Amino acid sequence: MIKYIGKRLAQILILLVIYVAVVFFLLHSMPGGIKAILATNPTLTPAARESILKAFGLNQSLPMQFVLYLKNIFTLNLGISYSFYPTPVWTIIAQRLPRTILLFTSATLISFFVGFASGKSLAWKRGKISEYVSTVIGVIAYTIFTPLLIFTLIWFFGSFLGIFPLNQFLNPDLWLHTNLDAQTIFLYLLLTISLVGLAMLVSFILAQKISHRVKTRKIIFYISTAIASALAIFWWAVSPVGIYAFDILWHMILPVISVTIVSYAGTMLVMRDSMLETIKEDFITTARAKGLPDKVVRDKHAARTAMLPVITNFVLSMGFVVSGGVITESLFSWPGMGMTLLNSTLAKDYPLASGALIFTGIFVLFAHLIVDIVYAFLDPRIRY
Amino acid sequence: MKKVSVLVLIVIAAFGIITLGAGVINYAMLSGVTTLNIWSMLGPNATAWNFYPGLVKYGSLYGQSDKTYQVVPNLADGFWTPLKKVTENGKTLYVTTVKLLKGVKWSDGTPFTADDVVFSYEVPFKLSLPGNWKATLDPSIFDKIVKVNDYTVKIYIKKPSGKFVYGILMSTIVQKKYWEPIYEKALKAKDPAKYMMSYGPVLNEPSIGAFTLPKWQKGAFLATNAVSDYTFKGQQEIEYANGAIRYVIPSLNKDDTYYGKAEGKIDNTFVTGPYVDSIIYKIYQNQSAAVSALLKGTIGFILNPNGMQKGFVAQLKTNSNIKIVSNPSLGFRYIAFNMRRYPMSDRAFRVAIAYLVDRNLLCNKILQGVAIPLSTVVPPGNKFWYDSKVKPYGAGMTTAERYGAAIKVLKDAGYTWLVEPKIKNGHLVQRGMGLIAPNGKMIKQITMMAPSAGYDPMRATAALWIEKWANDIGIPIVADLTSFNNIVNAVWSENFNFDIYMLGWGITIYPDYIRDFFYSKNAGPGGFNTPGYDNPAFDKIADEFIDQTDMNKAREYAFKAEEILNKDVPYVVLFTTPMLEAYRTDKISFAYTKALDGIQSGYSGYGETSLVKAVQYSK
Repeated sequence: MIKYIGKRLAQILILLVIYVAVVFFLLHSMPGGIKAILATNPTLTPAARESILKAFGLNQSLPMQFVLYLKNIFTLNLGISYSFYPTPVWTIIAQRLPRTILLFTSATLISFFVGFASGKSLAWKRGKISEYVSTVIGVIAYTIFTPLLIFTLIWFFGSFLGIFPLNQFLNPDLWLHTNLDAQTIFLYLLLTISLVGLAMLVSFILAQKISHRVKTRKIIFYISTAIASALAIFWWAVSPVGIYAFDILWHMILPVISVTIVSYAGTMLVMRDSMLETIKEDFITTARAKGLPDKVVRDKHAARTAMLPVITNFVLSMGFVVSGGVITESLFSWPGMGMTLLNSTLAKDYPLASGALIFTGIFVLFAHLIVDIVYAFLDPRIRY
Repeated sequence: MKKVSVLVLIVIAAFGIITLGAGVINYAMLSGVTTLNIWSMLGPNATAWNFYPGLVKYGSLYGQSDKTYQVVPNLADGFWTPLKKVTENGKTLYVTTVKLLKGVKWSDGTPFTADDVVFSYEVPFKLSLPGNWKATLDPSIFDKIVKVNDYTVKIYIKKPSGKFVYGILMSTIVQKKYWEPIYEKALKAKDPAKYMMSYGPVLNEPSIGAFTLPKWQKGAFLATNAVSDYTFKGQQEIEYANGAIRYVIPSLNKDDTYYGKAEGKIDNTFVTGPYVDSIIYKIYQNQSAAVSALLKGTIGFILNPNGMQKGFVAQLKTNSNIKIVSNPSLGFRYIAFNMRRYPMSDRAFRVAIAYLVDRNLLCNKILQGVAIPLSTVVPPGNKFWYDSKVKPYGAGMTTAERYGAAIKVLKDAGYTWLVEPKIKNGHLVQRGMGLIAPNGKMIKQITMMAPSAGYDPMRATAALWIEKWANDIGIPIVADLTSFNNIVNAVWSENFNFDIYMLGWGITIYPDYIRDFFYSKNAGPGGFNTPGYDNPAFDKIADEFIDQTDMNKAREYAFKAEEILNKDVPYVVLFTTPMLEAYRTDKISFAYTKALDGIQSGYSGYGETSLVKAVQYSK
């Protein structure tokens, strides 16, 4: 297994070099060229221009520039943003990333679980009206014009009912009276989610070790998860900054609903199709013949095998979480990585645009690696 | 569950208490702020979004009056002394003395002195800060600044220029006490300019303006706090119909009048605030979100340098608490003749075209009010610099009268037609064909390049109508609706490869662009004088205008230049676009809403920050 991971890591490194090359040459082929834009940018001091030219070797030949660019990438030097000069690209990414990760990870997780659970039961209840209705709704949700959906949600829940905030990620009237940085709350929220996730993972492993009975395992897992979640909620409730976390989560509801509606159907439809294929397999017939309960056959035998393509989708979409979403971020005034990518490209801020692209690329490549490793665990037939 | 309910109640109560707070108004911005560091803000990060909340803290020696845009003292005590020629180390320089107001204080109580002024000029100049700093303290004009005493400075320049007034004398002033330790560290750094520009986030910087800016939640909002003992609070700005302008500053016992005598009809009186405790700048990433917030009442006004999109206006009009304001943008769309080519080089030909362009019909009927007719390079809204004596060709004429006038001009100049256009009973009864030049040669097709409808439907429509009007009297103009880049390439990259083109300019209150656009030395490749206009009389006047540091004299020269341009027609100015803005009348009230480039403009204090009132609070 370690040998396999090592091999995959080497492949990923090669892929990363290819990806960086594509980003580099694409940016260089854009009209105007980086050097010309840099030379004609009146807002940079001659010293700044000179230092950027030197750092990225823009006076040298294109192959040499590429080598220097690669070296910069691998030494984590993404340069200085033109449009936020003299702020380093890393600082901007670090500022935007937590907002994007919190919103899109939550939405991706929810849409995965909703899609997985609904796809599983749809396939099991094949031919019933609920299957047709859910499939039609799923297809509509999957193909709906996202801005239209978001505008409708904002109008209905924000303006008409007035239940949720219209947009932005916090309420300025509340935050006006604190010196807290929203960034801190975002990081604490991410930490909380990570800790709860870790607790769930540990309880899952423990449950596997403690008992062979599915029921007992489930009880251990659910109780530990409930305790971890309750502790997290309690901590935030008694914390003096809890109100600000609550405010951010409150502002997340509509964006998360929007992203979930748009993306859950994809998972649901893939899961449904995969399940339909799986339940035709011999081992499912054998499991049924053994007299196993219907639920056990569905969840333990069929769903586990059928979820492979869904897991692939899920892990890959987790990789893309860091790139955010331009439409969602823009319409909900949630400035994250998506808006950063769009604005930096429009402003011809090459260091920031390439930095954001490469950062996303690295995440997606790692997601691929995780998919490969998860496959080995999920499918006993896969051996390396 | 009980705990959660209590928490929810606390949140709701907190929101309620906070939003009921008096004297707080909310503005929307459509993009985030990238810096609050003034060295960076007026350097590489010079965006309108940074300026809106960021520039409230600073002052300048001179500024411009509200609505009339006259140059008036701000932190200076009266006008500067006339420039005197001196020689220093073999260099010829011009020196002026500026007295400073005594008794002005920064928000931290520190007195404002000459040290602040000298420091504020020296830092960007010595560090060669880019962007606006370079334009304001232009090294080809600015030489140095010297402190005479705590309330007097001497400014040395290399040559007299209007830029001395609109640049150097209006340069931003910061507090030395706050910035000096940072500057000292910067001087020890590898790149001092970068050090100064990256220092931040500068939230505790003392203010000499009406507000401090202590709160910046990145990507979400910024909040200013009113300076309670603001020196200029209660200052009266009284604008007289005769052009005089009077400032009464009670806290400093000052009462000064400029540009004439304080007598006769008063046009405007403004009393400086601040009238609100705080202005919150909420950041929305798109106009639709800001419009929703305005409709809901979460914000009172939308700050946007491009104005409101027309599509939102109808939606906003449905709310009786929202008022839509339309002001002319500071800019113009125009057609330029290539005077290097015949017949565009013939004044009669250009005048004929100028007669044909019926701006009122075009803007009010054809474009249905989405454009505002404009016929001069200096718009009427720029009251100080606009020459009301300039009468454009065809003003007040009907379409048929315009045809008649254009035909007469061409005939008088010796033009003939194969088929002469005829007008009978106020109608064009026969279209002209085959225009023949005075030298007997047939005028061939003249191409007018204009942006296509995809880029700018207004200009595309205008081009098609100008083509029609010209064709009606036999002038063979063909509108070539093409991409913006094609026009720019033809005009600048391909060395003026055009007959006529249509584009637009964004302009400034100080009309130094008149010289840039029409000065004969600027007619070379890449120059701004795209028509190739070459008139020694104009050049002389333009030089006199640009060299003037007395704005009354400069205005006389500007008027002469405007009259020459109107007569010679190197450009036909067509229209400007309206700057549409919306605000809630139940939340805020502005001191004035008729302003060039809108309420959001820097000329109106970026949303009239020191004049705006919160409606509930003022009641």
